[in-house]
Amino acid sequence: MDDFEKTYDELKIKIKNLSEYIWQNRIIWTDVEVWLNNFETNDEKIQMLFLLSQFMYFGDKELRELLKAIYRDKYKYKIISDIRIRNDSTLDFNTITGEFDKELARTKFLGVGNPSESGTHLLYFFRQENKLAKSLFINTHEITARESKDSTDKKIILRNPEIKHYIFIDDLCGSGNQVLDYSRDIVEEIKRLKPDAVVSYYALFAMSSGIQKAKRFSKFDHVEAIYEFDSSFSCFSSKSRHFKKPPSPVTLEKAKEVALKYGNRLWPGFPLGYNNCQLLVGFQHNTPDNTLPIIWFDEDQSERWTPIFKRYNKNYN
Amino acid sequence: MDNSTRNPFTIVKANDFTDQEILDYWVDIPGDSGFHHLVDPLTPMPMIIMGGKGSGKTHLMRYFSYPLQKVKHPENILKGIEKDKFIGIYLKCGGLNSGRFTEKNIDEEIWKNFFPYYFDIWMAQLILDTVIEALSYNDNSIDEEKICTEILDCFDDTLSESPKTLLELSSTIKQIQKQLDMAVNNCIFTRSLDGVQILATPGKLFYGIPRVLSKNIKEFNDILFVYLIDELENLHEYQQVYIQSLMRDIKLPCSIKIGVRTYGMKTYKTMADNEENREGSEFSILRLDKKLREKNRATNYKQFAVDLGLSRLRESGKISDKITSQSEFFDYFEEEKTINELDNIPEISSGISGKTIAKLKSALNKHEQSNIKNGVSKPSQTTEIINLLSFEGMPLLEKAATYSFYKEWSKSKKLLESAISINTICNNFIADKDSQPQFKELISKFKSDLLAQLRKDNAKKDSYAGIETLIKISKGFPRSFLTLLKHIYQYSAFNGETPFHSKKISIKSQIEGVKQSSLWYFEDTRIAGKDGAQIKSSIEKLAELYRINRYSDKPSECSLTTFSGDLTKASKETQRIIGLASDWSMLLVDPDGRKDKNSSRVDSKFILNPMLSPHWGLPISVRGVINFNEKTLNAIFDPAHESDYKSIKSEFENSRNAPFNKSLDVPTDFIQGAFKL
Amino acid sequence: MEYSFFYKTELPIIDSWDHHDRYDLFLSAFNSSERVNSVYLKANSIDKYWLIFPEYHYLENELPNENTFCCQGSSEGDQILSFFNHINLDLENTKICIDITGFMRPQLAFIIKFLYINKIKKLDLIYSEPEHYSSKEKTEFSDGNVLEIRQIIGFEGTHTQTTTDDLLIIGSGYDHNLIKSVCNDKEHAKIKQLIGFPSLRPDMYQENLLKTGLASDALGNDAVKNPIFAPANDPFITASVLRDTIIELNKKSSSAEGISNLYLCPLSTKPQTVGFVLYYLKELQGMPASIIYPFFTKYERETSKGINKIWLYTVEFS
Repeated sequence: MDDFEKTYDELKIKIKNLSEYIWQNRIIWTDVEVWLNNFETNDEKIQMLFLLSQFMYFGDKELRELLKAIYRDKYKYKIISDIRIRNDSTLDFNTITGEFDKELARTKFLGVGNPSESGTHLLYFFRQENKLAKSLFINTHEITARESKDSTDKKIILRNPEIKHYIFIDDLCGSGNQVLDYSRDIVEEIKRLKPDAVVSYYALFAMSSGIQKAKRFSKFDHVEAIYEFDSSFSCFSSKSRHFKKPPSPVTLEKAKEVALKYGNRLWPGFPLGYNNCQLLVGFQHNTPDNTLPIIWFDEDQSERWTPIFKRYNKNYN
Repeated sequence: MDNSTRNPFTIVKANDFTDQEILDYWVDIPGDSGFHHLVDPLTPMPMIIMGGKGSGKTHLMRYFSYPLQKVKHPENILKGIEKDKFIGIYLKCGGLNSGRFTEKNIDEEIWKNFFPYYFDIWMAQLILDTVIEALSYNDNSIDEEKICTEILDCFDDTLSESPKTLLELSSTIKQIQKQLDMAVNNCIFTRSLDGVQILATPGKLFYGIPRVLSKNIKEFNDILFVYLIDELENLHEYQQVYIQSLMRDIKLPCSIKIGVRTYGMKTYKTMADNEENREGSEFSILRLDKKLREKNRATNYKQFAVDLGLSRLRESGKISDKITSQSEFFDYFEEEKTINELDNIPEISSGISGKTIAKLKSALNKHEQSNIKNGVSKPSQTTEIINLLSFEGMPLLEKAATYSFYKEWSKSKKLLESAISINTICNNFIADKDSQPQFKELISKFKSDLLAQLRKDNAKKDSYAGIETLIKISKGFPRSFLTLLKHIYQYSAFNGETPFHSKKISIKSQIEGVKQSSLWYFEDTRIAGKDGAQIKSSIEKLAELYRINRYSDKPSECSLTTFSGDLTKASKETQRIIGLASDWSMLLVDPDGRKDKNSSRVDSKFILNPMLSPHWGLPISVRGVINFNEKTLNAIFDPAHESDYKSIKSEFENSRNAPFNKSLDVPTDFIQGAFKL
Repeated sequence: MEYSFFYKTELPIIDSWDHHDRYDLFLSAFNSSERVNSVYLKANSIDKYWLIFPEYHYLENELPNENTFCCQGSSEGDQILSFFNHINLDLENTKICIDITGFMRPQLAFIIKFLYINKIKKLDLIYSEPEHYSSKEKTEFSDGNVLEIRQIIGFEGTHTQTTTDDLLIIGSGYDHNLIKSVCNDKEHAKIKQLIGFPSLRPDMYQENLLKTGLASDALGNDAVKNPIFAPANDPFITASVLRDTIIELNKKSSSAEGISNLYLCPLSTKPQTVGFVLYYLKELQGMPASIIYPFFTKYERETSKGINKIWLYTVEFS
């Protein structure tokens, strides 16, 4: 059996296992064959099949667990730790939980982005998984209010001045630009009105470059993600973790060539994903445009293309 | 669709069979009176039940245990026990966690004194808890205080507590166990077991408690207390010595049945110096593996396996209830079309431009010197040979023709004359198959191997499809059959088919499922204890030789996955590894063995478990047998002789491939009508 | 006991640690990885020791030049005790820090137990996360040759004869052969898997599940489809999750008495192993519960590349 056939068979087994154990049987082999038919030659197909076997998928179960992790490990732990330090490192359950409850009562959780985007719908699951009261969740327009009902009065106040913690939750921090926008438009205002407010941004996933930029240039007190994608997750970078030991005849160079060839047809601006992120990541609710467009492109224009992990938001021009 | 929640063959838990299913298997097989035929619980002589992985040993033992007696006698368990004339006290040795009773800077002699007491305390609780449960259905009153007093007399010393009821007694003994556990669990730090008091002589509780119960409880007056001690292989050697002593000193109203892996018996010695228990004298042995593979079980197993598959489908509830009969079940699996000798086979080349002839041509061109010796000195003669052996559109016939030719070549016959003769035979065969009975028989015997070669030469996958094939692959192990179905179902669904609905499960899906099952089965050798790696390596060598044979120019044996040999001449390590491989069902022992041609000796015969065959593209049907001498056996199985393997493999290959350098060590051995399923 | 209250903090990979507390004793298990070697250099301690464990099969000339101690004995108990008998310290008043990264799990478990029964009040543990595993999901961590499956010394319980509601919880890592061997050893038990999620890196969760999938027959459908999650790098949440899971499974048990025998088997990350150990020491001692482990012949010396993060966990026993 030659390398091609051997690798093809092995990749099929891997994808079957991925589909069964992680991708929630979302993909069956006929879907893969249809997707591979986007590519012209067998050599191109084997390169792309390998890329597919490296695709990371996070389903509903996983996303809910990540939302639990944000609450428990990012938000809650910091407060608990501070309480303990303030109280001589006590481990007394009642003391700590009592103080924590007070801090929680002074917290509001918000989503990031357009209401129709994923950031805000995540809040619903966040609330469910962490068994939190509805009253802890607000929209961004509810942070501030006019001091008086008189529409000519321009003075802005905090709607709930006792609130100490504003926690913004997002699914993916890409370039960091949206975080900077929020910082300029919202965080600076909060800080102006209440300098000791603690404003945090927590994402499930982030590009390392984006989150570093956000940490450096934004006014958020905390900017963190559960999972960061550094350059090793850019699939064609020199540090790519996907190509550490690719099976013959797969190589980084050939795979990149194929991805570029078709990516250029699909999204000439960013043939390897938005901002050249070159990711191989998808979620239950969507595939981010930082992922290679050959994976998700579904626009019915001049270029006919069948995706393997469709993207629902078509606003990527 | 979440495939796996709908896969009716998914294994629900590790212990995947209900006891009822295994009961049905043993009871319903025609001509067999089931469990009682194999194991008579009322025989006082102790019995050792030996079986490998998947032999049903644990299920057999559980069949006689109290929980299953309760299921069999739901109306009145005490009456049921009286009727059965026994009560089964079942113990899994693994539950003792007796790996902790070693070393920790404690002298071995101390452990040897400690373990029997701990074991008896453990069993005492087991018996008491079982009896307390049974007596909870009792209407008659019993004198519990008297029973407690008599049981306490079994101890050498007075206990600090004076329990008056069986429940209190059980609790008291539990406290003793707790103290023993604490002492053992801390001895790594305390470096001693000095605080431990051994309050009973070995065996006194073990035999004494049943005697007291028998005497004082009406329903137990005439019954046997059958100790079912399973997984003995989990005990250390010195611990097994104690169990052997209990067997040796067996006293009524008790009997013992031991369940152990074939190579899990570490000793037959007893605590009395130098006394060893012997088969037939202190115990009998039941070897389950042999029983499983007796010939008359073959048709019965097929029936059972398909019924099992059908019942799983019905149980899953998500699959159509339409399938009710065996033949309908069969119909859902696409079968390979039967290939006859003169058929054209799609995607398999033949004729001058085909792969078979290309290989022949290459061999003839490569071995010119050999050819000259065999009378071929001109290229035109080579061309003539090739033309004589080409049969366009009849790839199987062509393969058989070239096989015959290679056979003649290996005997140093004149090549051109041989080709002419074979060509005549083939043409006669084409006209009338019965006119060439030897050639017809040859094709029949080697058909599977020749087809496998054709597929390989034409870059086609090995074929393992159809229910009959799956039955053969699983060879008497219901669990293997379900595993095959599970993986096939997964692939079928993954390939976009709708298994057990409208379309047949494709051959492709079946092959993929079978290959995966085979690989996983082989991977399991790694977990076969500390010898796992050696067993795996040996099986790989064996399979490699079988594969060389199958895909060679001239396979010396057809459908070869069986070897025989005089094990007594092989090294101890070889014998041990072969034994372990059998224990783990990688090799299956043919109970009949093989009679040596030149003497009255009967050699052992071992079949590679057909579950492993697909991983290496080996045959499923068992026909040919190869005899290995001790050198070959040691090279395959004994790491100390591993360095010999390379040359043996080389000889093996050379004797089967043009130009057929002679090998003295590996005789051609073609057995007609060898062991078949 | 609320394990999630314990302190955990990230240490800088590049900057110095000199401003952190100075320890009296720092211990690390020697292996060939960059993670372990660089932490040893940075650790701020009066005394430092490399513990050399025989299972790594290092030759004399492969070892560091100084501060090495070759642990003697065939068992984890003997090996750890050989070291502490040698140094003979007043442990109750010694500030100790251990780099758990290179430790084998049984030795790690035992050393924590040993310090616990010697009344140490606080113990700092360091763990370095790798950038990635060298062969991704094909990385081999052991030679797969299982010698025996037994209880880890110090974690043996008082078990009961009733086995109908036994429960085995496996902290599943990459080594599917070890997972299979443990499942087969306790095949009568209900089995649950604890998976490290969030994983150390985003791709490791998928790699992990690909490996545990290979043991799916041994694990059974429920364990595969309904795993328990705890962060791969957090011992304290691991301990909390274990506790909560066992409380819930006890309630759901078919028997009125609940779980008959509980077996825990940590085969995933070292922080998760610490979580198993902590929960056991605090809540399971003297119960019908043990930590079991598949002991094998040879450990791989170097399975990872790079350092992603370094954690400091403070375990508080008092």
